[in-house]
Amino acid sequence: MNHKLFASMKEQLNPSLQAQGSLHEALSQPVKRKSISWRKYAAVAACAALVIAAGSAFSHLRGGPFHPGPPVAVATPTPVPTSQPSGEPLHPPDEWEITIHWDNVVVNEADGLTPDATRLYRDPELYEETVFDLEGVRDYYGWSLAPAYVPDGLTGGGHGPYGSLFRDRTTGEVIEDQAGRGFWVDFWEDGSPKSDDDIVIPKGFTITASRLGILHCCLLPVDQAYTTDFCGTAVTLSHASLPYGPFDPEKMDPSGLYHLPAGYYDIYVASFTLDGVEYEIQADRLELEELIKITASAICGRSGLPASFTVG
Amino acid sequence: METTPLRTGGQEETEAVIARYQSMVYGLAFAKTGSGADADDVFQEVFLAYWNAQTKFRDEEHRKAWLLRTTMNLSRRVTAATPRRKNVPLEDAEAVAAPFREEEENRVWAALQSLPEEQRLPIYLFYFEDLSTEAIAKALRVRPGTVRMRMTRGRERLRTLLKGDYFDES
Repeated sequence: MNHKLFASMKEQLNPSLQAQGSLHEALSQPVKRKSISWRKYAAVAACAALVIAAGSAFSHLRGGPFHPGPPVAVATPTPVPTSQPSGEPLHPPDEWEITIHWDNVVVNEADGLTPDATRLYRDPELYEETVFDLEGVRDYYGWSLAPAYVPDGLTGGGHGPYGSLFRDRTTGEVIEDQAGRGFWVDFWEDGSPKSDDDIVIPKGFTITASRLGILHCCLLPVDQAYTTDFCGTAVTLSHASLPYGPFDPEKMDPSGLYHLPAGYYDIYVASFTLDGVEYEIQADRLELEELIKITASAICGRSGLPASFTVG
Repeated sequence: METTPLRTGGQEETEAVIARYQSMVYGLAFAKTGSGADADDVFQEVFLAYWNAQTKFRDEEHRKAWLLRTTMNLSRRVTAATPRRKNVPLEDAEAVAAPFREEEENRVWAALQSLPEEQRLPIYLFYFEDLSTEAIAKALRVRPGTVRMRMTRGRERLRTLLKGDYFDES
């Protein structure tokens, strides 16, 4: 890594002298004091309690700390015109052709996102976060999330579980508890998975767990799914195919939705619930047989698969 | 190391915080907006917001996280207010006034600016601000796994653009 280069560039990243001077001048003005904190009067009036509830919800949606300040004006939505001034209905020009690819339309079940598609954010003022470590995961989930069977060539890279447990500071209730581990062919220095061949997508799998329900920040375009039984536990196996780059800027994919990719890779997912915990094992660029072995080792035998175990 | 009070405090304390974090705030704003002028505006707005909020922070990490989040929010507002493309093709980025002294530095920055924002910002925060994946995840309000994946993809594109191991492991 070019520490010297980045350090030199960083040193040069400074606001202009004019901006610094303007700021200094602005700071010399009297401080604009915060309006009265709603927290102080929380217990006083029912209307204040309503403001708190609305403020907290708003903070959750906006994803940031609630900054007391002047009330935000709510704009009245401008009605969308449905007719021209002459009264005739509006039509798109004849040369327009609108195509909807219904197989790419999915119900938004990405419950790990807020309505404005940013990741759910837990305000530290309201929720206490405990970052999962190996011991924490063992305590909470009963095991380390490392399946007994890991395909040849994959490792955890020395990295333990990731994820956090969030508790409501007021009630102590756990409101999010998702943890995971990844096993890949290689890793970057920051712990992110790294490919070891010409295809940019790393080969490996992740295992995700939650007692409250796994939160999804994206949806896979599943084209096949079926449910089967692993040692008495129902497991849904599904398949999706995704493109990988580089993408040819001159050509389009047959779907017409994106530029022609260098290729497509397989994603297999095994979803199941075991001992009150929801799991998802997602395998990128692995054969289905490998996912089945990983899943079987996690469900059927933590001590490993029997030598006679075969997929078929 | 000289400590700065955790409450915003008076002008002197605020000036100390500005001195410590102005490069971080300006650099992140510049990486996000792609414009020195916009980054100047964001820099001023962030610290005016800091000054007016008079917040008491739990610790230095809390203050830093607050500044990063505020920089992100205000940069987004500036970007939304000004019509622009979300990312600049490399050939156009290189034509913009070079912000750094050395040609190599400008080339690296232009390549970084040509990445989609979702890849550019985590890479900037990791290599230029030495933030951990977890801290980046908090600043950008995404999961650490998402940060790692975006950095992986960004690094692959940079490797192709720069034809060198600038952002690889040393």
